Amino acid sequence: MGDINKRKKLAQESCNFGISDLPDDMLEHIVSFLSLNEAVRTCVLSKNWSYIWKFVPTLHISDTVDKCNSLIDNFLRGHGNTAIIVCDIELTNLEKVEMHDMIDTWIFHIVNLCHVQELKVISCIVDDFLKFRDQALISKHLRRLELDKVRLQASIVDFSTCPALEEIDLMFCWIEANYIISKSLKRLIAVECEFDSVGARTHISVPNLIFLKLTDIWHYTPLFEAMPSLEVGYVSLGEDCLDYCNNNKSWGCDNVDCGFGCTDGYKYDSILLEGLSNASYLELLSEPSMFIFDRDLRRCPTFRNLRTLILNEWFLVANLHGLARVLHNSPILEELNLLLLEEPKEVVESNGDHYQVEHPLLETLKEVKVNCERQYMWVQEIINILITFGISPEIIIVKESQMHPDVI
Amino acid sequence: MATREAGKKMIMLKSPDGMEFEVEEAVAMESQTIRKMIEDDCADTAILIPNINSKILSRVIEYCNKHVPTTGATGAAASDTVAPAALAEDLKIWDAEFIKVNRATRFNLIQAASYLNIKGLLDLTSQTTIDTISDNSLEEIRSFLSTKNDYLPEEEQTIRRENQWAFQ
Repeated sequence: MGDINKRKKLAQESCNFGISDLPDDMLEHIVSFLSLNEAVRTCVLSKNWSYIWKFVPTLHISDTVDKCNSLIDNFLRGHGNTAIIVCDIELTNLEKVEMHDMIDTWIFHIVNLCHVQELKVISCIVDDFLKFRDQALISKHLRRLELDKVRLQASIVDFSTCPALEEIDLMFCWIEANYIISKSLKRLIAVECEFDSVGARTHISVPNLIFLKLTDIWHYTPLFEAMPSLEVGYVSLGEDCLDYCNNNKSWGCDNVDCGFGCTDGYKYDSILLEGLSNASYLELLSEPSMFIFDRDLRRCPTFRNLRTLILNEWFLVANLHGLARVLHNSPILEELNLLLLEEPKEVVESNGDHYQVEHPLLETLKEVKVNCERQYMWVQEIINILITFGISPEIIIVKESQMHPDVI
Repeated sequence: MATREAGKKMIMLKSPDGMEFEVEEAVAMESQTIRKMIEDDCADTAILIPNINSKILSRVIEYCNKHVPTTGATGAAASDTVAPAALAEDLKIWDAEFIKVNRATRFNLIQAASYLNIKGLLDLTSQTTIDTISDNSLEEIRSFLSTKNDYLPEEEQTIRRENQWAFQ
């Protein structure tokens, strides 16, 4: 009987019990999903709610640059330096240029003062980038940085001032830096970013990186220094990259007067592949006219941990010379995935001059997947060449598909 | 000791109304609170979950079952760094259906997610609460949150004036 009464009482209580009766840290969590303005407005609900917003561990602002400056100012006055985990700022259209020049100072100020761990800045300003002028981003606490349409103007972007920074996610950013440096960084994603440092390639020194995704670069492909801990590398060089060579008819353009920069091998040993060579998973996609991969393969590094490799049509240049080199230098490769969705402009001949891959090096290879629209003659020619490399026909699987399988 | 089946460790969870639920350890460990108990070896025959009735506990287990990572910790590096977009989309649709519950249940789920420390469920319930109250009048929000306005009119004026910048 006692139990039933107790249960009845509990049921009544839970009916009268509402969200406002939750402990303050729960209310703060719920309010953390609101924008700054909305969060502050909860102060009029009741006396209990008057201070909740001051302890909310997030800051979401989506407003014009003008208003954002004043919102941050007011926020800091009310909130003080209570820690913020996530600071998420979206800037809509530009109003006054002079305000535009101050916004990075405000953002850096809030990162420092409130020990922000995750900073996300999205700029929706039409026809302009949001400028981050210097290296004022100094924080012991910042762990993640996400920038969208931001212009990094410093010649050296040195994240040594952010020793806890592990993730950087850049979308549509304009990077003018000669150097990007971070010892703590583990994940780097750059999508449709312009690397435009005057007179040289941007050098990226991130020795502890584990994951890299670099797609659709504008201007010049950055140069990556050694990344011994890298596990996953995903690089896709699209048509907006200037690293192409129209002379590239055979493997490696030997024209010393080539104005496209593909013979600058004396300046740099390797742009990408040496840096990526420790990964166990690599997806290397490129427009066939881009020379970065071909060029790096002239001094092909050893891919000592590589188990899975995904390539598209660029590897067909010079009768698969590049692919032969990669296979030769990948002693434990298990899976090779080839994307053959577009017919190559150059003829590929199975009776042409081929680079021989030594047999024992292919022992660990378990599967070669060929993705093509249909098994055309030219696809069959390529498969024949793979067989001349010593790949057993039994492990070659042809998969017909219209689209690039979205692996990552 | 927790029950063991071939390859999969099982854990018994007990609700205060006497119901028992046998779940895979990996599923139970979606809750950081239970994870800590297991790691500290406090999970003997069964773990009693106070304050969460069997109806709510079974829904919480349903949530954890759906959200437990499908690949093991030893899976390919790619799978733990990037979840396939299709899988994430599928989970989103499932979450949206899962959270179509009445106010009392959602409130109990918030409490359960908070006590058991399940971040995904806490975020889902909090976000849904915010979505429900946004675009409502102040009085409607107060009523939804079971909050009584205990401000005197002049006090409310003062607090509004102090935070005027957020009301513009």
